[in-house]
Amino acid sequence: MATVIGIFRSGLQVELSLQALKREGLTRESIHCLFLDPPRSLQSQHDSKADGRTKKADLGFIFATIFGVVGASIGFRMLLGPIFWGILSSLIGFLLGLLINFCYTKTFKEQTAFVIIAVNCPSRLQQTIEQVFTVNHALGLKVDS
Amino acid sequence: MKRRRAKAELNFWGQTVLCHKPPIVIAWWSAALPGLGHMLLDLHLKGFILFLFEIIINYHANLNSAMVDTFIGEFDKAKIDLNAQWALIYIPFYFFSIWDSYHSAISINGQNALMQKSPVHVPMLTIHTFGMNYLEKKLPWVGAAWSALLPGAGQFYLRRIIPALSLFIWSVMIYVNCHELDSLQLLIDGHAIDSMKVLNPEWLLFLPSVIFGSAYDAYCKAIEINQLFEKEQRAYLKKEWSSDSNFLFQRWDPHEWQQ
Repeated sequence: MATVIGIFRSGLQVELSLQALKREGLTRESIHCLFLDPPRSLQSQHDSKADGRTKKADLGFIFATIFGVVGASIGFRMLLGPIFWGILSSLIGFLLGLLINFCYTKTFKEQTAFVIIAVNCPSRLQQTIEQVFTVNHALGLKVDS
Repeated sequence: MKRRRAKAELNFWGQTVLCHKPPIVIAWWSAALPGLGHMLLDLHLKGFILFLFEIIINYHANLNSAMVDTFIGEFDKAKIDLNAQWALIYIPFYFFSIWDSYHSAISINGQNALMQKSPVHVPMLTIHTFGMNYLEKKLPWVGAAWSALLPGAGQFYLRRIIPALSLFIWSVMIYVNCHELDSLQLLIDGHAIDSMKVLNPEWLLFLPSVIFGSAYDAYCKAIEINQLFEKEQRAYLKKEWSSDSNFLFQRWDPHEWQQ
């Protein structure tokens, strides 16, 4: 007997690999899935309203709009015109907003959930299962034989 | 039996997810462009009507031109530009849309709080003769980038057909009327003065709100769709694929350790 454990990003490929494992003749009893929730940020642990994950770019889009409107208006008086200044100022606004957001949340990345699939299988299937996991974009693999 | 409250719906028009919305952020987008806040709340019919009237009233009041005049310090010209009658209609309209989106956000959050702990039941794939739709992971920044290039494109990427259609109509209308692309061409050719003259400030000032509003919408909705996908997958894996919770720890027989 061998045990193969793979970790995946939550997504369609999880279900595709489960399908492929079934096709290899493995029963449900020999497969076990664990769904790993992303860790909650410190702020949202106290905040029951939010789903645990806050959006990291609210302020970026808001500042981009404000800066874009003001920058384009003032651009009518400047060399190169409103389009150049509008685009430039909205970019600056966007980055400024992201930066302020970053100071509060300390991260830019949206957190994703992960899934662990563990399979008990006869040793002859071990290589096939490894291949199934690799084809379906496993992020990590562990084989015990 | 039909459920009293559903958490999500998926059909050929797109998908709608019930989730927490920050009321202040929603109110801000309504202030940037009436209609956007309602679009973010998935109140599409309201959003579509407010969007239409925002552009009609704002255009006739010459509000955006007056804003440009004010920002560059020509206050007398702003007074002449502004059409008083239309501007007075605009005031209650503007504050109504902010107020309404703020209150709708609060009551939607209440609905969401009631549904927080209940399991998700949503089809992963629907097929209809009008088209098919399925849940999958989306990339928030890709949606935002498409909407920034052409408002509406990111909404099509996320399959939000109704807001995508209204954003497409208005972004084509705004792009053509403000002559931004003409102006860009002249600017690249080196005619800085001419490039400024072809621009129409009244239509140009709609652009930042429409571009960044739709980019934010695409970014947010991609995250909401991903969260729905994860919730559904978590429930499915728990139900169908985790028969034995000790699976990972059981496989070593104590006797094997001693050998």
